[in-house]
Amino acid sequence: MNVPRAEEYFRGKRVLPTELRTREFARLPLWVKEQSFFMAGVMDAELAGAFQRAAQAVLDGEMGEAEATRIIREGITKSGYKPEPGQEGTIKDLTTVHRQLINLRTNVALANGWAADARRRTSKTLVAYELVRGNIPQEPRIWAQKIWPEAVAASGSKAKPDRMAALIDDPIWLYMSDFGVPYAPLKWGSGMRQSPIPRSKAREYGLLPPKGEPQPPPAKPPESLNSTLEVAADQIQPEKRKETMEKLDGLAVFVKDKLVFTDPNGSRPWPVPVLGNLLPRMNVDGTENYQKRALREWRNLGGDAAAMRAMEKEFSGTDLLDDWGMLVRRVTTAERLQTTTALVDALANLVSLVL
Amino acid sequence: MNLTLTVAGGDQIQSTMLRCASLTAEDVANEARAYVEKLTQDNFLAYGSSHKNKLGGTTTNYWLRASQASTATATGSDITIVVDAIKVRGIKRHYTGGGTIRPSGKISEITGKPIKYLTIPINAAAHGNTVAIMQRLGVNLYRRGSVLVAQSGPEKSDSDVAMFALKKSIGPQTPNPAILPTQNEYYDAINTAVDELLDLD
Repeated sequence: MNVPRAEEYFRGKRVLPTELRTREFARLPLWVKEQSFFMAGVMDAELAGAFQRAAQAVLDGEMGEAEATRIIREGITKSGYKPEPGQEGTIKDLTTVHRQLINLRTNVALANGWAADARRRTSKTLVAYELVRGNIPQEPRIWAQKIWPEAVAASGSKAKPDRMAALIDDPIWLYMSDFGVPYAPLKWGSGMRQSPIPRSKAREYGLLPPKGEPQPPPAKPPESLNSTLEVAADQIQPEKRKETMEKLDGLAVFVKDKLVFTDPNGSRPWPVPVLGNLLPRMNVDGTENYQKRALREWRNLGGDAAAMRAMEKEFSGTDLLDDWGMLVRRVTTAERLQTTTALVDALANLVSLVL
Repeated sequence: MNLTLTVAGGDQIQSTMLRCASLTAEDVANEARAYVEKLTQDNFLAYGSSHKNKLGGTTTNYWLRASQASTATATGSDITIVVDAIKVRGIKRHYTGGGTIRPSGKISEITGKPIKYLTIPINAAAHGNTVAIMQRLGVNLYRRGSVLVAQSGPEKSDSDVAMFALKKSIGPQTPNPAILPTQNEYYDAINTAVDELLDLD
């Protein structure tokens, strides 16, 4: 089973120049936050890119924080950035080491938080999180007495106010986050972390009904960056849907009342039969679907487990290998595959549908 | 270097398969993997919340990062725990103890000469910081004997505070096995995983 890794997740982000501040950005849909790299109030993509490269270097283990800030300093020099008058030396001044370190640490922590959450969602029996402390803070906050009970009341959570635990998909995790994502770090600098707990303990805490009664659905499996990309389509009349679908040319499909992005060249998990319909479609620029091309190369190399290893050797450093990696991940996740044999079988099935 | 530990789950996984035919070996191994990972991460969090840094400085979240850097993978009936040393430098040395650490000899970004000394924080304000970061924070550091002191006024003075000790080497480090759970605790975690799986409706 592929282990979700923070550095790979972060590598998939694209710079999003924006005038929004952090709190405004946190209100955007999860998919926007998970797919984009943004910095509060930074409209210069080159400049934001320098901050992104620095965080990537730390996540990849290529350099420590001090060394990574050199990438940021070079980016600042190159962009000609100057702080706004009156903001020199404040936290809004990108040239200050304080701002650079906060940005770096936040991005690294969020990427690590995403990976930890994604890994935990592969368990069948770890169904909830308990909040635990992971450091000794300078100024401890009153979590049990104040922050948690208030969050339970305000978020629509089904958790108990006197026990800092909730099911993995409970809305309280998103509510508590300073960054609008349901994983650590929830409150910056708090040192609080989510520790997964098993069903028996969740039942003991009153988060699950007693055995024998209907149980809530299990937590969603790890999601792709595009898994939440959808728009409410209840405004679109049924007769207009066909026209809309034709215009979108397979880029999106209606699922009940939602228009869901199909992510033809991306990482959104789809079962093999759906991919069998998706991959034969041409890209909007008239070129062949990239993952179909990667699938063909795998088949040409033998279409077996050895060919999977050969792909890495043959296409190292190319876009085709990235496309191949995304195809493998989306099939593995959607089909909940756990062995190489099962994956090879699923891909062989896809070859028969697509090529 | 990564900190790696393997727990053999063979007997427990086999006996579970005999008790419940509907479970596959992969189901059991993945669940055991998740519980072993959780136990490792929880142990680091508990360690971090009970051990303050000796200088009393702001936390660097070292143990919290160790928790995040811990992953477990199941290969057959073995479960391997890896704590990624890229994300928490020196983690293996904490567990196993280690030999003497000496300067890398790389060219210093500050002096432009080969690095001859390790800079060891001896003041809470220096904890978690490097000399380069402190200088960029506006702290003027200068050498006085075997320490680097922070200049507090326009001129050097006797009241300037020592921040870093300059050392030719440090070590060897004493091993600290308490940062990871014991083998028995890992076996208990695998048993819990198995019990929870068997309890699924």
